[in-house]
Amino acid sequence: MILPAVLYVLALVGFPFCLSIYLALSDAKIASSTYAFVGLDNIRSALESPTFVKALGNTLIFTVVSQALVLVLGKILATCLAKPFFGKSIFRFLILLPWVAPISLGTIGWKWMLDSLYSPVNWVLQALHIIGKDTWPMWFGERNLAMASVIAVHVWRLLPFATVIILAGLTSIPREVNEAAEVDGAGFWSRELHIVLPLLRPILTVAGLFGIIFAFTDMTVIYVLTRGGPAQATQVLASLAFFTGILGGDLAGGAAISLFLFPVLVVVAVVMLQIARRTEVT
Amino acid sequence: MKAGRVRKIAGRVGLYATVTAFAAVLAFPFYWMLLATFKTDRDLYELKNNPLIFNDHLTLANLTLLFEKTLYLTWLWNTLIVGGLVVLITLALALPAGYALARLTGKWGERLGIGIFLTYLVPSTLLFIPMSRIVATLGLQDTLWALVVVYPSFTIPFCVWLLMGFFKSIPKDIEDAAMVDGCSRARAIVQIIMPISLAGILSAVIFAFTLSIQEFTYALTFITSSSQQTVGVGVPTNLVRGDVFFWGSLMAACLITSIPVAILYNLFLDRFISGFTVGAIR
Amino acid sequence: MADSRTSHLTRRTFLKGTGVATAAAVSPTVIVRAARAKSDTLKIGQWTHFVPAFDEWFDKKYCPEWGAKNGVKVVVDHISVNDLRARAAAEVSAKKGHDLFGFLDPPPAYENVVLPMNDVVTECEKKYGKLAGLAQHATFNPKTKKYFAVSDNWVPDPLHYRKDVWGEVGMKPDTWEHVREGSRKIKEKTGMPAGFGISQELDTNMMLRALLWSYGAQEQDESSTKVMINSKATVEAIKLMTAIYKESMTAEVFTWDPSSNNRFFVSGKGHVIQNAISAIRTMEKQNPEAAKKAGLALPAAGPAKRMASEHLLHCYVVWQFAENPETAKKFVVDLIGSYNDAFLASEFYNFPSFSKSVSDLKGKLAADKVNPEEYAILGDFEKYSAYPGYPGHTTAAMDEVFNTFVVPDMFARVAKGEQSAEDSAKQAEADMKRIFAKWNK
Repeated sequence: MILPAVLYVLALVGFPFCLSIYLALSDAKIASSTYAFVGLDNIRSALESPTFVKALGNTLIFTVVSQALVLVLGKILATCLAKPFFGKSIFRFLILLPWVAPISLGTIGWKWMLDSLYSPVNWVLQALHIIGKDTWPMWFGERNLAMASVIAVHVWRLLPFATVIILAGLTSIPREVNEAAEVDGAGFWSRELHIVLPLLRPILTVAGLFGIIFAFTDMTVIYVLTRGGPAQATQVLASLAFFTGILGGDLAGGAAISLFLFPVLVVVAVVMLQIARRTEVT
Repeated sequence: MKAGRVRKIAGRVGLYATVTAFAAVLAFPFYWMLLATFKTDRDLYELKNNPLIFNDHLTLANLTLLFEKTLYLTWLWNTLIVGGLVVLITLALALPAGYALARLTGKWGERLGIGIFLTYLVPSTLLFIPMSRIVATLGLQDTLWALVVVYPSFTIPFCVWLLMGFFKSIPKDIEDAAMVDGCSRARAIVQIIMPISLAGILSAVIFAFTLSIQEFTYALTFITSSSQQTVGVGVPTNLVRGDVFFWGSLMAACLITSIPVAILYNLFLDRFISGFTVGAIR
Repeated sequence: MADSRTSHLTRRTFLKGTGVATAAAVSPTVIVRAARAKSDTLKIGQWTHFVPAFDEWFDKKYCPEWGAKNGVKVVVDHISVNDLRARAAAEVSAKKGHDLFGFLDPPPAYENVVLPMNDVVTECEKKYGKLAGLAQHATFNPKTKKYFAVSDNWVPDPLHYRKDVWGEVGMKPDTWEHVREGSRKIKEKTGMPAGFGISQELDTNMMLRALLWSYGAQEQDESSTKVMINSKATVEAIKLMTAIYKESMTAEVFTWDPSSNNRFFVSGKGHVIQNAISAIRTMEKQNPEAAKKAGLALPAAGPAKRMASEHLLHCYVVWQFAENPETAKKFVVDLIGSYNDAFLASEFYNFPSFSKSVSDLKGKLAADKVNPEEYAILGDFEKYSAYPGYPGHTTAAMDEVFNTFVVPDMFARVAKGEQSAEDSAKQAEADMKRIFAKWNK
């Protein structure tokens, strides 16, 4: 039953996937027709570059923080939305919007939201007297603010879907299970901890893993908002690989950068998927 | 008794406060997009204006530009076709695979399942290079079919694992009970498991559909003719001109693409989630 | 009206999912494609021009007319500036794509997969005068003696300044010292900031190179093999920009993308930027009153010389796998021959790479309908303009240096106070040497 899915994906991605890995170990340039095998030279060259080291750290921060936020906020929001209340439909509609917007356009919207001149966010903060007229925060201009901004926009974009997944997970937990626990006198927190979360674990694990990989490989938000600036403060491996490999023409170098964490990710993915798979429901 | 009531009211207030805060933050950019759609350039670019209201007369110029000077409707249509077909292919392959992973397969199935997930780890910003060779070999360059064929390669792995998660959160007892009652496994799946996991299946649909709406790199690199482009590529290509952005029309395009899809998702979610809950009580 | 129509479409497709409607909608595209492949077509891929009227002229007038004359169907696909390189990479990998591909900066890394354009350049030089030095250096590989691209136009990068504000302090931004001094006085007097980006983007990349050259610094030597960025002149240029930043700019300059300095100037917030004329052109349309107070100036002079960078250098390549290479080459030659029209359609944005392909350039500039005296200064711009890699050639290594923002970062680290100018120049040198080593293996 699983075979057709596997075959489809492997047929399409198998060759490009292997070639990408080979590229990382070769001396391929964007227009070269033959590649020579150079082993780990590209990795070595990348490690010599302070930008790469910085990007490595940024990637970890970006991925871990954004995923933690997405899962925690998603769980809170889903718990709210699982309850019946007046006007739920409208709230849910508003909450879903960021996920359905074409990301290339939605991020351009944020570019204006956080613009140095026109930012309505700053305008509101100023109107509330939280900031002064001459002290507008330059969202993409300060090291930490820039990182916070790209993380926030990334969370903005992924949160709705994480919520939907968790919500769907919550609703497919048979009501009887929860009710039985309530009859047994379990309080809200106790039910959350001992019943809901364990039952959600397979879904949360997969959603989390997907989120990690997505944050790791997708650079749309960063590419549109900061292009890795200021002074490489938001450069992540995916964007650096794009600048080096596609724009700069050093294909092998780009491949090596983007696949640098591949071995680590493989281990993480295998472990998390094993956890998701092994979870036994009684 | 009284304390219970106070707590209930406090709970309500907390609930509304939470969802309102979430909705306000998540939907704020769309409010701004709505303004930008109808604002005149003069209004938009005047620094002294309050950015959150209209300061000038409303204009349809941005919409006129979008609908008459670009192929926006064609792009929208293309996007929907690709999204629809990708969803079908994804479901056809991921449903059986997800169920098999949750219930049936032994070691090999599991390894294969993990294997296909690993293909995610290579960023599309790199993978598009070898991938474009495959697309050209298949003769699909510059047609929507290229996207229809390629997109499932990244929607299937996640959907397989997501569905597995949902199937797992359904206690096996329910299925076993049905089989004890004389159902075949196939019938048990169709009649018991599928309805319970509708919300989960819907999440998979939403995921696959949205990801194909949002995808940018492949859509950009496999398709050149304007008439074959999707919204995410066509709109910025035509409305970001060098260092000049046509903000009003860009934001209008984002808004008009997002709202119908969000309404649609919302309707579906309501139907399925409430449908299930009612069924469970009965 | 449009609204209701779209949502109707959405729902229908989604509900039907597949079926007849979808199949019918997709199949015509396949037919169109087959039909197109058979006929004699010239496929051109190039950027979406900043001036919509230029694309209008190119797509709807020039190309159809040229096609009719030459018995070819000309198809033009537009690609957004930021996506040109990705698109090119995909075409090269697929060995399929456009016959003629327009880059906005010279693509030396692609030399292996393009046809040499020496014949086109020779023919054009015969017909339309000498190829501008900056375009020559940026598209010619002296090692292989090949033109890997032919440039039809380049875009000047003048200073934009507010004549009224600068008048109030009685100055003009003529040298970089003037720029610093004037900006400081204006900031004190009116609070208006100056606007030189120090960000990871195109405009910064161009403007800061101009500053380096005018201080006598250079990234590499004339043979394009030796890294020369770490010099006293570089350190001084960095110090000057840092001073301008500290005295008269805000942290916004770290946030910018290529469109930001346009908005900064057009909105009336700032008083000086260095940019292609898209800024003043936009101002004329959005803010005509303020545009009257805006002026263009020659690039600021430094202690060594007066120099600017080209803002963009448009150049066409013909892939080796192009289906119609000869037609493509002929198209370029003829297009360059029609540069009088192209120059006007682009509102003076596209400057001719072949000197005589536009006749009476200065006369045309002086006849501008809106701001003739300002545009007139562009007439001499060619002699001040250079290209990334000056005074050597634009090599593949230089291209990577450019696209990984080595120079903007070198300035940003110092302006942000993270490093001393000396250390930052040293680090840029190390970065560049690493990149040069990769390409010169």
